Amino acid sequence: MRAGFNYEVQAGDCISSIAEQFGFFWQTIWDANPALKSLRKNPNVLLPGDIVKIPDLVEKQQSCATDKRHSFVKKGTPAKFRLILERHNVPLANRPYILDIDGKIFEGRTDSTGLVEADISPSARHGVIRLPDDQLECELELGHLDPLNELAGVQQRLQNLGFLESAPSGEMDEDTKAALLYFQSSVNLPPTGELDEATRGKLLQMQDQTHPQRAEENAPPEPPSSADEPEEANSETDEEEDAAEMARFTSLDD
Amino acid sequence: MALTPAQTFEMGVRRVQRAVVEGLFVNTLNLADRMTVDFVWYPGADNVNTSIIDVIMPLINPGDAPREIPYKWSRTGMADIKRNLASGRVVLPLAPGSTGVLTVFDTTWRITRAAAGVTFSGAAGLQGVQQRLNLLGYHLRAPGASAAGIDSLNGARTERAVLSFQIDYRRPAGAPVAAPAGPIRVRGEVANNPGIQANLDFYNHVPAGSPNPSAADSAQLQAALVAMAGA
Repeated sequence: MRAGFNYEVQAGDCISSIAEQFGFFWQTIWDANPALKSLRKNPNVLLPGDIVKIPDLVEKQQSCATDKRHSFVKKGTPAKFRLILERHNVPLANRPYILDIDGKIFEGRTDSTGLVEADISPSARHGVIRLPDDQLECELELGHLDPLNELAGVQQRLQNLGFLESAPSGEMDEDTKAALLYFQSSVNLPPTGELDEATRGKLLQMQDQTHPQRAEENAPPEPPSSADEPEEANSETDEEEDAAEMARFTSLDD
Repeated sequence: MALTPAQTFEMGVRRVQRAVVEGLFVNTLNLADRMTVDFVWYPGADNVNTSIIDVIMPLINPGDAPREIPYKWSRTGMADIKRNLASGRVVLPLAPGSTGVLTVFDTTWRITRAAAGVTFSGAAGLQGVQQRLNLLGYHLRAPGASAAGIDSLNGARTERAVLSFQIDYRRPAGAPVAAPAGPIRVRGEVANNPGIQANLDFYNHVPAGSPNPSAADSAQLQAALVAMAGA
């Protein structure tokens, strides 16, 4: 058994990448950190320096017959890459795209809402999206979106939405004020140039929005009661697994 | 002034989130077309465009204070963008089919971007001139007619539209207004990006062969720009 410990979030981390790094399902880590959960709300968006409590890791013992070959399959939980591409708020619908995530190539067409979706590794770090028909190419740093209650997170969203031209500085500079004015006037908020809750809420809605057409089909399932437990195919010892917490492997015995 | 409509998106690096499978979070990248406007001195005999900031605020010593000229970018229904141009270049967000007003030195330029899918003939030809005049509101249509009046013929309506345009955009203070004689004197210029040839038409109503305008002239100069990006 490995004792739990505190992990300091690094740039590019999110709950699912941390979970994969330490051998858990993301829900386990997320649920073990109620204060962080309350602060950040979104398991995908953490701030470097956040402290994540990593629970005890309980090893599971699996009895296996001798003189037989045993296969173990890792029950990985992929992450999703979801990106809506718009141009002047009009979806870039049905466009061919090439997505390169850490060297793995995904090709396809955006859907009617401009959505690009792919299963990726929770630890994926770098991506490039290309839309040849639109002469668009954009580098992506996965997991680097800061929380919205940080100014850098606000700036990153303003930039993603096309309101901020300069690189996010983390400071309330003139470019950021101008971008806030531009954004506020574009979404019918009072153009104050100030960062208020209404502005944050609108940014959240527009950048991190729940995909409306997929909300129903992607409705979250009931959280698994023993999601991180190893599972052996044809296991006859379910009651024993309830207490087990270890690297997520499924054995597929011959 | 030269203007380059945005044809490619240089988006740089964007920070996005990975999403847990069960979650519903997405990332949204909204591409805001931008137009690059270079304020340049008119090319002289050497045909070299010089940034206006180098003319008005020449850099004497490398350690001098930054040279900045304030400008304002206004669009209907949106808050003004007020910034400084430090290099003689401004980058302006402008959606296809919309218009903005750029103010520099208390001088305004109205910049209209053609709607997506609209194509124009070359500005050097009469048909192209007529199309742009129509877009700018100098209509050639005969009263009661449904046709736009774009016929490639230099008739009375075209001359009237050109005259109106020239009155609006170039009449020096106190100067007499005269009907254009001979060829239409609306000069089209092409953006300095060879990949966007003929997408830009810039009416600066400076007759060919005119000397370079002085700084005072520049302050009075007004132009209407019709840019066609490949939207």
